[in-house]
Amino acid sequence: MASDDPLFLAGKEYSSRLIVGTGKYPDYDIMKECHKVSGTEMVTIAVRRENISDRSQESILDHINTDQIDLLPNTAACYNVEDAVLTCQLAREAGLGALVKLEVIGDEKTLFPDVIGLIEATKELVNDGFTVLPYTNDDVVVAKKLVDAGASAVMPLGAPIGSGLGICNPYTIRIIREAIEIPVIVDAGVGIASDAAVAMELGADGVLMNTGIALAKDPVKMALAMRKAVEAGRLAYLAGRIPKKLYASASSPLEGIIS
Amino acid sequence: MRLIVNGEDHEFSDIESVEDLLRRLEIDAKYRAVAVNRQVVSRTDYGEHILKDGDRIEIVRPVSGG
Repeated sequence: MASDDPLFLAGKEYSSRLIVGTGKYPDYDIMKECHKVSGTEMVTIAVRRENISDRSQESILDHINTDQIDLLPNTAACYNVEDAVLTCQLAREAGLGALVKLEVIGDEKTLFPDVIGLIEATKELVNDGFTVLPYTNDDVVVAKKLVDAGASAVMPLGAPIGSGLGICNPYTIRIIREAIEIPVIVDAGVGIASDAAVAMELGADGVLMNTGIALAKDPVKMALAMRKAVEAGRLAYLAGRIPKKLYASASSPLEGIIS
Repeated sequence: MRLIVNGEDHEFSDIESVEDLLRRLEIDAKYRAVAVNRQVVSRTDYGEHILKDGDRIEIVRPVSGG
């Protein structure tokens, strides 16, 4: 689909700036409909052990329109560099491609990233030919180090994964956007459409979300809301907000007032 | 031969290669990947990669995730 404001990510042009997950939906039909109405062109998937005793489960790939949607395998639940790197290598060998959402988790309760491991894994994977999109915290110093490590985008969290708390620290997202040249994709924390709009208004190049759509009361409606919010936020960012002022400034002429 | 497949102990007879193992487990190699002792085995090498007693095998597939 042509767009006059495409997202350039990992050497490819995308007209959608919304990346969506494949987890937690009520069922595959709803997931597929959410992907469709969201307009997304990239969805995340996880890689897990085959269930040796029960291989009857359907494949997630039967429910993704891979003609129009790129796959972004993740390394969710990897707590060290070795597991994250091996998971990426397995994903690539499984035919899921060399574009990966890298997660090296450092804390079970918050699922905050282990940024030291993240930087190390990014280097290793880039050397191994991967295109790496690391899920990171909203720290500009780490973001810069990820750029140096060869990341193709940085994906700072707005809030903890699945929390729906929104963009907890808008200033750090803005600082990251101003400090680096590669795409910034806000990944995690979006709970409702305005959160996605805020992320985009701050200058994020895209937003990645899963729970905010999948666990909404009506996931398909929320997927559409998120699409519109990402588009609105992007347009508002490009349009440029007015400066904030403490006092009123009349919008109607002061001349010709009746007396 | 004793193999640890996806974290579980299994006893197999009459298998030699990764290809044999996948056939025995009735696993279609499409969109699957295999690591033996934490080294990824290229799908073109499944036939030649000979397994030995005590090998730790990971067989993975894509699933839902965020």
